[in-house]
Amino acid sequence: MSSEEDRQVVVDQRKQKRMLSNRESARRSRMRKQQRLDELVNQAARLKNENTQILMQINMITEQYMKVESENAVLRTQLRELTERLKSVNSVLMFMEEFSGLEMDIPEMPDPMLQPWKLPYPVQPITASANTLQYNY
Amino acid sequence: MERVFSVDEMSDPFWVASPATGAGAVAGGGGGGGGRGSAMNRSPSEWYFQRFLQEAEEVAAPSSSAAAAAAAAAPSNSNLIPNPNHNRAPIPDPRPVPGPGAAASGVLSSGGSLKEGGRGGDDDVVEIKVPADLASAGTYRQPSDAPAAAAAAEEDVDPGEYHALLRQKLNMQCAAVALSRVSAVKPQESSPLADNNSQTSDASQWASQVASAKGSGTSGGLAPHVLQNSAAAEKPPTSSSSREQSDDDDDGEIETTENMDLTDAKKMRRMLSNRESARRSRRRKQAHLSDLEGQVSQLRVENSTLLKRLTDVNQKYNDASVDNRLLKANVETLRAKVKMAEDTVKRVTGISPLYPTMPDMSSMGMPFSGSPSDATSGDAAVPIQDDSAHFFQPPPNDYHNRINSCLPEMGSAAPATDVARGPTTGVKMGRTASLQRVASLEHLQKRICGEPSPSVPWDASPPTWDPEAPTSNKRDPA
Repeated sequence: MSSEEDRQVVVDQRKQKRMLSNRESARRSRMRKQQRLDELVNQAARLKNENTQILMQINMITEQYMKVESENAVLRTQLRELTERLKSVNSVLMFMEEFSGLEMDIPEMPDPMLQPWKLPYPVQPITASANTLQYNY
Repeated sequence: MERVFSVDEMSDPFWVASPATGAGAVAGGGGGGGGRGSAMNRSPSEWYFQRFLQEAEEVAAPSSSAAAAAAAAAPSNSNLIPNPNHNRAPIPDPRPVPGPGAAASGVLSSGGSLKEGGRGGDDDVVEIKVPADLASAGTYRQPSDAPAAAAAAEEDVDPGEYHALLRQKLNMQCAAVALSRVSAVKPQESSPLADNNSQTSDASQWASQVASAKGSGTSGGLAPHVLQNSAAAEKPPTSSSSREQSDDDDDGEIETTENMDLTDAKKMRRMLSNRESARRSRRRKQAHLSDLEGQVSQLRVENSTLLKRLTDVNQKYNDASVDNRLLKANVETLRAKVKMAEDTVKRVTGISPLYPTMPDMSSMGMPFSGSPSDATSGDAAVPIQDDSAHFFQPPPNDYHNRINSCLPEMGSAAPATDVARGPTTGVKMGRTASLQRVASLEHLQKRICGEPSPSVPWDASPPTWDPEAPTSNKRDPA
């Protein structure tokens, strides 16, 4: 009789142990699943506000860019005009020099080729009166 | 006092044996099953009863000692009990003939039965309504049990002698059982709670023993089935006691079943609804998780595109600001040059190509829309824009103006503008001391104007200049 009892006890213990370990692993896996869920929630939140921040930055910088770009356009126009003026003044000086024989120092014309990559004219013409175009040669 | 024991009671104590884990798993089902099982027990019990009666007659016939007969009867019984009841599988090794409740309880005792014994208190013959359970209870392998049970069976015939024999067997058995058990089996009354626990623990132990002992598949569908249902009933002490109470209350079989079904039905419904809600909540949680994952991945993609856009805009902005600085520098240098050139011209010709004090010009305001040019180029910008305004206007109306307009192109845009605007003032200027010089210059101008030479890079007069332009559109009143 006792042998069977003993075996029984052993069986019981083994069952007991297995049940406990199962319970333990179940708890661990629940914990892991919960952690994963929390992590996902945090990530989603973090990404959301990061995106909004970047969007704000983009808008801000675009705004600044537009401002500077418009300023550039104006400057380019001025540059063109000044070149023209200089040209005209130089021509006058040339004549005077020629006419009066006096030595005139004619300022150097800014050579648009100095910065070949920089077109003196803006990419899209600044709003100018129609006849302006007429005199462009 | 004749006391009828309902089958359930009888079967529960004996049939407590079902593998612990099995019972646990099946508990839920078992509970329900239990109800069914016990009902099933009832129907076969009738049959066993007749069977029992027959055996009793057989055994009684020979006058041999009860023990021997019992032994013979027991094994024979075990084999003889085919399962007439078509829906019940044959019982593989049902222990022998049912004995009186008292004996059985004493022998196979789990708390339940003891309880009855104790409660019954009478060892004399009790007309057992359901012999079958005892027989089926016989799963308990101990051979010693068998003879005792058999002996009990014979009691019916010659109560006195047989009874004594039975008692003796009973005592022996109790000792054996007590030895094997860890906790002694206390009678039910003494400590209902404690007993319940011990009862359960005994039951589980016994159950595992029986299960392991049986092991093989020989056990018919019924046996394990009955096992489970009684085990289930036994497992939850409270419910079992409640069931027992309900059993005690009503005697009639039908009420019991009904009552049983009701609670079971309720239990069943609750269990099913719980299972359903559990499944729903699991599904909801899973959906939430996958939805979250989708969100996170989508946000990541969005994040990367935004970053790219950010770098692009940054790049453009930097370029623009570099250009800006460059342009500003160029404009500055040019302005300086122009100023210098104009100074020389002024020095030479006395006519300041630039009429700084041009009240009307400044009042003219800027023809171009207010450009956000910074302060430094402010003053220069004004005249320049004026020149350009004039410069691009249709040619001045009268011949005189045209000459003048030529001249400014030669000299500087300013005087022409001035002339165009206020030709009279221009002429007045001419009459000053440097009249001759102007005349000579005009002469010069005429010569230049006359021969357009596109080749000359800085040819002042635009070839498209059309002197014959209609003079009618006098722009400014002279």
